[in-house]
Amino acid sequence: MMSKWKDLTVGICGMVFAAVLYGLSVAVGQKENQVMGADFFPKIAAVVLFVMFLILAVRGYQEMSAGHEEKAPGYPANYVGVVLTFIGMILYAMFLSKVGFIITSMIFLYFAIFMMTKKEEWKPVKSLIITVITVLAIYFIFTGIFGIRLPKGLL
Amino acid sequence: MSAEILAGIVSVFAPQILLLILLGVFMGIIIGAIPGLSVTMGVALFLPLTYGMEPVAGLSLLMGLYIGGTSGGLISAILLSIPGTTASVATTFDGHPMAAKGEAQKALGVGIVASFLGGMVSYIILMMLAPQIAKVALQFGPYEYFSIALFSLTMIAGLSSGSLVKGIIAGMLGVVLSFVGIAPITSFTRFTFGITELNAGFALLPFLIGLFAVSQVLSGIEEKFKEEEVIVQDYKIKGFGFTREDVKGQGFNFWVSTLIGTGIGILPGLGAGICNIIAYSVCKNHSKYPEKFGTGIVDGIIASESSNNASTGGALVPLLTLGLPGDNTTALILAGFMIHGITPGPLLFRSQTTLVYGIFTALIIANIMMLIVEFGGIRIFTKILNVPKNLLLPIVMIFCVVGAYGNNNRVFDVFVMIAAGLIGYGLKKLQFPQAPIILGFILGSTLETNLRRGLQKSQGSFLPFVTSPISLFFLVITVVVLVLTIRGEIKNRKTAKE
Repeated sequence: MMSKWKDLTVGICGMVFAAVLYGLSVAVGQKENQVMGADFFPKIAAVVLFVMFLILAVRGYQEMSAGHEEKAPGYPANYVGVVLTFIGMILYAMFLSKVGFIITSMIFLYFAIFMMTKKEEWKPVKSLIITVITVLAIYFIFTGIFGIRLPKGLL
Repeated sequence: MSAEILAGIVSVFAPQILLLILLGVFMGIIIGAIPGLSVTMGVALFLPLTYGMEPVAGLSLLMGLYIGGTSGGLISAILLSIPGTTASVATTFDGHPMAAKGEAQKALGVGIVASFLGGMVSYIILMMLAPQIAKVALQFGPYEYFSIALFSLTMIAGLSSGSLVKGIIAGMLGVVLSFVGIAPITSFTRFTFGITELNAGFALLPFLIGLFAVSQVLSGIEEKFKEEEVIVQDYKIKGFGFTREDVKGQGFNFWVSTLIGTGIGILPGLGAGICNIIAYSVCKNHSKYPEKFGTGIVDGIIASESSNNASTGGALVPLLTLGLPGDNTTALILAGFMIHGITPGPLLFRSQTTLVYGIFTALIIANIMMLIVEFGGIRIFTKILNVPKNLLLPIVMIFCVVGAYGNNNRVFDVFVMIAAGLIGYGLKKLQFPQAPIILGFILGSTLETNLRRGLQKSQGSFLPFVTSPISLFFLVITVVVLVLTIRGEIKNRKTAKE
């Protein structure tokens, strides 16, 4: 059973999003100044979304009032890991072209393996060897055999 | 015309292409067998490899992946009771009990042969049906294309998840994302917020990789502390693993399941994930011994595996004839066509006859290779099931970055992939379906272009959308699907309250 406050919150946020979309579409229409122009279909989409999110919010409120509880997953969710990995992905993308594919990929891969491995199973040297071999193999297969260009960066 | 057909058939027999099909089938089986990876993810990861290839070579590789991946799920379904892909959920019902009784060889053998035969029948249907549908589709105008696209989106929104409202929201979000960039017909740039990289809109491939692959990696990281007991035994199949006596009387079961799989595959939005369960239910309900289903009988495995591979041929019908993907994986195969500058649709059969018959031939060859490779390589595949997730998922992430960057050699596309991954992960947490977003993103411009063209043609009147027989037919089915789905949901809510 899912937590029904989520539906209410998503519904309200969604209605705001749909309203913003409609407003942006009106602005597009004013700039373009065409009958049935680039604003036409986005406006229809915004109205449909608003109605759907409204229904979702109403249902969410009804279910919340009925007092349904969320079933626990049965294991501790690793949200810290998710957030840190997401930040790691952003940094990876930011430095990819400047530092290069090989260096940034090795750093990210080692970090990601660390994030995914339980403390008692973590083997730093083995993980490092796997990281280096994997990234070099991927780089040479994709650039050498399949002809895809990857950023060299500092190398 | 027949010279082009022959050229298409012969083109696939080049050694390089045969090797690519073999690679696709082999990797597809591995990806399909490993729970946590999906056929769609596999195709997404291998799409970048096709950038520098000839179209027939690249698409042959993708067909190998598609067929291998759809079938590969039976390995973990039977040995671990965990379906490798959603296409093999029903295989676990009888496959694993059979393995537990010491009949794993029979279960694997029956599953592999059923996959092969189901696929083969559907490819023959595809080859017979597709050219005829393409001829009819050449007469379609904006009214028909709009109605078909709307029908496709509604089907997938209504039937891919338990909530019609969430399905429609997901579909419309995909449509909204397709608005970014240059608008169709008037070419007015909209919703770019001054970011020049967005003038061409979001690139499809990084978006797909992010939505399917990156979101799965994030989910895997969240589930780091989930205890999963995995016991993998070593298996080798002698011969086919079963005797003629074991499959006596299974003809009806096979044909019904194969036709269910092909038919459901043709319908946009549904695919192998649903047809295996429907085929299993139908066969159980019509069986002389329904109480035996779930205890480990070949009937259940044949129903599931013949239907899921049959759906691959069915799903290619709307893709090749109308340019509408039948399921998530064919949505990525559509991206494969677009990478090579080819637009699937009715004109494909006229302008690219060689390529179309090359694809048909590649399907048959890939299916034969799937049979041989799965039988011959079963020991390798069971060993691969032991690769730990803490190594596998981070490596998948590196492949994702290569795929996204290699699309246009832009770091911006890597950021798009990461954002799509976050969206996909968020949608999973909020229990929204992912499939409608993809179809909405792909069909968004089709819907808008044909709606506006149709209204311009009719000078603002919606009447031609309902007076055109084909358009009316699809609009009526759309309404019927909506009504039936709403009725079903209301009934489920009442049952849940009681």
